[in-house]
Amino acid sequence: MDELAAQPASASFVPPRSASGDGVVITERQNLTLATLQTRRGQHAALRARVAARFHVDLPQRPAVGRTQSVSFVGVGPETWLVIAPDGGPSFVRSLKADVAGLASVSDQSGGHAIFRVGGRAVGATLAKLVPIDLDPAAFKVGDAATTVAAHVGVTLWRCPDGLDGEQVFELSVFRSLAGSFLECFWDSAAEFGCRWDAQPPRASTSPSR
Amino acid sequence: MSGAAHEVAAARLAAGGLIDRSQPMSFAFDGTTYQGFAGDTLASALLANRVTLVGRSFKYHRPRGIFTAGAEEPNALVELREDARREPNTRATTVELFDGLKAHSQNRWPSLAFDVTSVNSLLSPLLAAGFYYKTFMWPASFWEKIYEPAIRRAAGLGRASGQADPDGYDKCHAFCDLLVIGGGAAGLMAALAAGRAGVRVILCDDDFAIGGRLNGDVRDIAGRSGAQWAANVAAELRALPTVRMLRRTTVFGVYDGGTYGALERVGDHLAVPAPHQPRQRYWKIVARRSVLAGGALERPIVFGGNDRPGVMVASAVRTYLNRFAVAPGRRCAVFTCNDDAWTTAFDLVRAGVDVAAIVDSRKEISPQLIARAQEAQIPVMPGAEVIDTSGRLRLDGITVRDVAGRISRHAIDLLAVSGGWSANLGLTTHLGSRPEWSDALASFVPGTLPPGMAAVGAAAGRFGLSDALRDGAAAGAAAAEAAGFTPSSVDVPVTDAEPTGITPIWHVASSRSKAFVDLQNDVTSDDVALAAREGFKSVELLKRYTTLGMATDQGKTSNVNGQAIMARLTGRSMAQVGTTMFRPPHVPVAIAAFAGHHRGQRFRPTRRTAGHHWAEQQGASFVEAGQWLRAQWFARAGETDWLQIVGREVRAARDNVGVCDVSTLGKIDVQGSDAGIFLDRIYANTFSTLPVGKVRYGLMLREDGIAFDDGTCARFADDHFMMSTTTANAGAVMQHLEHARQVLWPQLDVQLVSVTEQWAQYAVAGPRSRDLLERLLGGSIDLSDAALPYLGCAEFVWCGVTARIYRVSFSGELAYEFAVPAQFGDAAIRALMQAGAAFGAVPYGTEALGVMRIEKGHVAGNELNGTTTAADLGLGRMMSRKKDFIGRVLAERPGLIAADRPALVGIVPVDRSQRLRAGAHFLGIGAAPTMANDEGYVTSVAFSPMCGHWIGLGFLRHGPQRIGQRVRAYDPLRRGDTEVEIVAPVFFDPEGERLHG
Repeated sequence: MDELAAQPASASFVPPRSASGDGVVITERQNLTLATLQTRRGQHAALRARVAARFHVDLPQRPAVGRTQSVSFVGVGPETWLVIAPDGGPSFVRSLKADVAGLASVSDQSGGHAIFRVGGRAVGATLAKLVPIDLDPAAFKVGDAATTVAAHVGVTLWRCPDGLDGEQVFELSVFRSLAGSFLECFWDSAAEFGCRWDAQPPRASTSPSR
Repeated sequence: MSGAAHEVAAARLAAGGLIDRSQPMSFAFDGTTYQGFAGDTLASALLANRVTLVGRSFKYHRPRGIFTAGAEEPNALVELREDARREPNTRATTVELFDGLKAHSQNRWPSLAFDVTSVNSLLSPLLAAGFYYKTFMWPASFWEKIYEPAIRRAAGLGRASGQADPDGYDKCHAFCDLLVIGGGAAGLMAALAAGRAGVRVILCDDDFAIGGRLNGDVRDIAGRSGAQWAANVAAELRALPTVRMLRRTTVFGVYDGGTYGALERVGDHLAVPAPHQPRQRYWKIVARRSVLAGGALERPIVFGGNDRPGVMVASAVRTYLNRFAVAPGRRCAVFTCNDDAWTTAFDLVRAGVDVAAIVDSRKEISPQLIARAQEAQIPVMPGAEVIDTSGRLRLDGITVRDVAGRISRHAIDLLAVSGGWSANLGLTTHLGSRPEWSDALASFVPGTLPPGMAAVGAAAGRFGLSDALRDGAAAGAAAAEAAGFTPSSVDVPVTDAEPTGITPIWHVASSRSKAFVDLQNDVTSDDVALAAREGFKSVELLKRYTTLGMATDQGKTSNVNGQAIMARLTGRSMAQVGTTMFRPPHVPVAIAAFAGHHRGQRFRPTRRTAGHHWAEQQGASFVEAGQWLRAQWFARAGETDWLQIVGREVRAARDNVGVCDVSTLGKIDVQGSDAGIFLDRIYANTFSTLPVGKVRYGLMLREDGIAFDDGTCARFADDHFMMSTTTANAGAVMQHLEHARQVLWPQLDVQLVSVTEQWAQYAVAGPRSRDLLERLLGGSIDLSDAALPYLGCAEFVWCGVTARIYRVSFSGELAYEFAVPAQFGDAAIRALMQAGAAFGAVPYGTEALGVMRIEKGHVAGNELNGTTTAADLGLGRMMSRKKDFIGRVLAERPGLIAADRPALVGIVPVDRSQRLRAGAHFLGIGAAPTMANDEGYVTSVAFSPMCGHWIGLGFLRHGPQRIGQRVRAYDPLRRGDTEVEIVAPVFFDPEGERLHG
């Protein structure tokens, strides 16, 4: 057989009507390699050093994102990270396991989470309806993350560098099975501002990442 | 000009007010069309049209009018809008007029002017407080069938539409340094002082026009009118980048951690909400600090006939005059015990309304007020009281007893009443603080405030305007400082002074006709006296016995008067009597606002498997399993009976091969060097000895020794297991494991993470399952019995993806579970079915899955029901004696090891044509159906296509020793009483030969 086709989590989602305009744009990030990384007992410092050496990232010690061009580590719990490798390919999880052998446990989650990138003029007003988190630009800075609930759906979200339009950009990770329910609630919340499904994610500006 | 038009012109003043005369609006009340203006409320527009009778009272159906001009309104409750948007019990005083508004009076039949049910008024001696409690005591059996339905028919206010609400509701979170509650003088100053300093401020005001009492009164602030000053400040606030103003927004609740609930009426002032706009929005606001600037509420005085339409609190009269340019009467009087209401008389005269008298219960009155009254040519009656009123459907006169005891009658159609002001402090009590009484202010004032809250101005009992401005500025500056900002200087503007003297009277005891304390609940002064006589003297008992202070207004105009009357009757001070507390919500909030988008199917989120869309295309019917939707069966063309469909699916799986989506089962990665030890302690049986590449069935107990969950657990490496749980318990097991890892044994090197979502997993079951998978997986993996025996597992690469296979069987057939990462789940199920076409593969759902597991006697949720032990389930031998595990000790309790506990058996009906039903209880043949004779119960039943009759599982006392005996499955709920034979709980392939293909 040929290689299997990966299906986006949003494949069956039919966007409802919203106001005209594009107050909010949303897209699903696809072909990501995802994994949960958890420190083995007593190996925290060693793991941090190993990740720093291998990926040039300081593992965040709080809900925050540590990122390079090729990989991001999102702090999702004590000594637990969601690792995102945009161009990791299937071998990424195997090599990550080998890289941190004895220091951390790795579980492939590439199919477990759907990750949506959202931006636009009204993204803050929309997310305020969904998550009980203060996303004011001064309170929730680029690189900050939070694990919380959005309309009864568990989410982890983090703030990306602002878009070229100067507006905030966030990414939200939800369990794949809940992607449809999440999108329904997101669309409901964004409807008054106008919501557009964007094939191209709102491109990050070249502002320095952290 | 017609008479009606002339009257309209007379009620609406020629000039003034905050209405927009360039925007006339037409509306209908009880089918009659009227005209109003933008800026009117329904109440002001009705008064402008001289409509004074708007409702009937709750209990006696007495005619009632508009009593206030705000959210505290007890009387003017109407049904707003029509059809699906009909909303009962809407306060006409808070409804913003819109063009085309339709409202109806309620609680009357057949019409407002002629209400048959007002006969209740004649029965009023019978309907005193406690009437229901005393009357409907016996016979007890009458309560449910006769009394309660009859009372319910007669009671209640308004009718719900009974249709689905066509509008949307929204929820929103907000965060700020300072929440200002109320947009009057004090609140505006607080927001200004904080906002200018750069503080994040949210100001909520329940009105559509910011300004509070400044809009209803004629005041001077720094040389401008109060209303103009408020408009200017609001404009500045709107321009400040860190200030958000929410008009039409009521803060209704104070919660822990600086959290406040508020309701924004986004589209209530429109006939239909704008497209994609919600009708209302529920705000959850988290604020470091808050300023309560909710103002004060004016109290009436309790006297005979004080409920007639045309009796109105004095400040409301001013509001209608000054804000809405409406004279609510043609010839008026004022009845007061304080200075403030005199202003109403002066404002009335200035508007050209005839004022017949100021009746003031105080004998000594400030000479300045007397002088102003003389100047305005208003007769003054010091030391006098209104003892009665007259009029059929509206007020036409009052009876006054003067200081010398002389009785006089005055023909008037409007009586402005003031018993003084009560600080609007409801929100301060939501976290449990009790208000304190101030004799000097004749008002309760806030006690201990909720953390972070400051009360300012009238809400703190500081009723003067300059106090309010000063308080607000100080509180705003303090909030700025607390948030780390440098307060900017805000000048407190100079205002005109107001007289504030008061000597409360509460109740005109010499009144002989009905004197209402609580207009909404028809509680009279006599009811309070009855409560005192019968011993219900505490304010809490007074409230419950008389219903004082209940329903939509929560006693905002009545509580203090009722408590004062109780104080007088029982010889106690107000401080001793105290007050009831208020709970959220401070004003009524529609349930829809709390529900937001979570209605109907979207009441809670739905989880769909990766194969869901495929299953839909196959015509699957879905069943809810927690949040999951699972395919229940796959009907084919022509199949109408689910039993027929399920039978076909079972036979196809047992004859050839079937495929079932089992992705919803919980999956937990258990990793770490101590993973094996950890699982030994979690499961009743041993896992540390499980070889890599093998799967074992495991049973875990709760701490109390009862069976908790079961499933298989596979080992992929020395330090890597993958546990599977039941669908229903996936979350609970994860919690249980995390508790064990984090709390019980933090010294173990174990890491846990749910991978339920990572894997799309399909059971492939039946004699041709290996053939199917060999065709699908080609050379990716060796599926021979030698390479992958029963209870073997493997991870391998197939078509470029990491796949897993487990040789496990819930059906009793040669079977596998095949897993791929979920993003490939759709592709995998399509490939599976394509590969299976040559072998007659069918998809099967949860019903066929259930039938096959019952045929094999496998326990599931019906048996793992939280009351059964491992031994009850026939799994007692799984409990290891060589190690400790959660639940081991308590499983040894005498009650849990008693020999006569009902234990798992199979049953078949003696008459094989009979149907079995789960939930039936086991009774001996001929035994009476009593609890004493109960021998156990049926947990699971199915029609077995393989046996050709119904089969069941159940727990029966001494069951395993009674194979071959007969008992009854007794089901009184469904009139079932079936003789059954006790059999071993395996109905098909008892030797398990089919497992090995």
